[in-house]
Amino acid sequence: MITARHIMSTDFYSLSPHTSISDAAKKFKEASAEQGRRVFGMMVIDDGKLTGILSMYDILLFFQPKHAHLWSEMKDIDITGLTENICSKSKSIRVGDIMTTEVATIDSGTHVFAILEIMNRRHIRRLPVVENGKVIGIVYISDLFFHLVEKMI
Amino acid sequence: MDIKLPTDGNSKSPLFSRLRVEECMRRRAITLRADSSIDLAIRTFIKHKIDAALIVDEENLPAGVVSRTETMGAYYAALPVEMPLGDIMASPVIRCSPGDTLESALSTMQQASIHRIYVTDASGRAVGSLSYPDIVGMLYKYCYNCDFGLRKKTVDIEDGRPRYSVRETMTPEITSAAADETIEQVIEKLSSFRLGALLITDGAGRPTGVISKADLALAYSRGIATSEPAALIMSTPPQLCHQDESLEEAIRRMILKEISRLFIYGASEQDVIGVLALSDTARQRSGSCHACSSTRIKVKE
Repeated sequence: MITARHIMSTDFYSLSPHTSISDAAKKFKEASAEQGRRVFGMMVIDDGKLTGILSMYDILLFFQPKHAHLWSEMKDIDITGLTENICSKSKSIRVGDIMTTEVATIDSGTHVFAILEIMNRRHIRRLPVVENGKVIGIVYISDLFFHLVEKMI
Repeated sequence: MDIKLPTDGNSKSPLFSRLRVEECMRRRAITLRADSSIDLAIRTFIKHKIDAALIVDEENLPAGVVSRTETMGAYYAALPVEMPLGDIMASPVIRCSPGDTLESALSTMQQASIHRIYVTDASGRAVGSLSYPDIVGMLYKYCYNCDFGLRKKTVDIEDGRPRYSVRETMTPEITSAAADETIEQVIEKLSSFRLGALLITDGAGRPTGVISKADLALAYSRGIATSEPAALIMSTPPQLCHQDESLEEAIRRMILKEISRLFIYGASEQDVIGVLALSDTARQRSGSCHACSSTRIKVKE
């Protein structure tokens, strides 16, 4: 039986909830370079315990200007400095402030089809593998995909 | 704060009675459940850069509202951040319909002393919300398209119609707290004067920072005790603006800095004499010109 144990990645990157958003962004870049693939989300681990997940989407939401709905009305307003302003804020806002805390997890014995069902139903692309309260790996949707389609190709 | 329509014979402003809520509302309402924690609400505020979330029941029907005012109250009362939102939410939810006139929505907001109103459809579910910054944006569009607007070069702008300055629109009073006062004292001042943010001054009375309800929510979520000094959680430096600055420039700065108010100085930056809220600017319609003052709305803190 093929389970999470067989397809999970064990060399994953994680963040601390106390890390600033700008440092987290740096880590996304580094992790993507080192792993040779785009890292879209990272587990947030505090004292060895999984406390949330920070995805690129969470950071992008933070980047969205507060008054974005006004921009279409205010084409003449010079917005130079807007990015700089958000970047300077990203130093005081922390991972723990914007991470997603409702995180689905699986254990190493979860069957691949159960993983597939969870990912499809909840529209998620990564599932932490937790055992005895400790994160031992993560299953990315790409790992699942290539495992499942292996026999097709 | 509430909004008053002019009572000087112009109470039926043609613009506001013509415009419908659906033309100005924000077409998305961020919702949470009553059993979600206060901490989740605060993190939702930060992530989505919003000031309030609508609390909905199992059928997605509005059950209450939690704004930064409610989280500030919970912080003051030292409630645990794990507490469910159902325990602190304000209800009932004040609402209007997409087809209502802007004038009637504003008058409902004024009567209820609220900053935002939720727009619900026939099924009772929220389809959007309307707040003062949304109205500022909508008003600005009219100014932008107006022949007398600052950016239109077709009409000579030196036509004798003076532009609004910050001085005419600001609230010419200032309440501040010293940097060594406690967070608890800051909250007391914010709530007794019904302010959105408080200027923090140093030992010599110079402006050194600002504490807004957003700063308080962040401190609450991070577990900082209210007995700590204001200096620990204030945002620095304070965003200041000269009283003779044009209102348009002030609006631009608030939008850029993602803040809702600027502190206004007179003779020098040490001499803060008033405060300008983004919602106050709705009162001057668009902020650029007296041409449309007949459709002004009055905003009162």
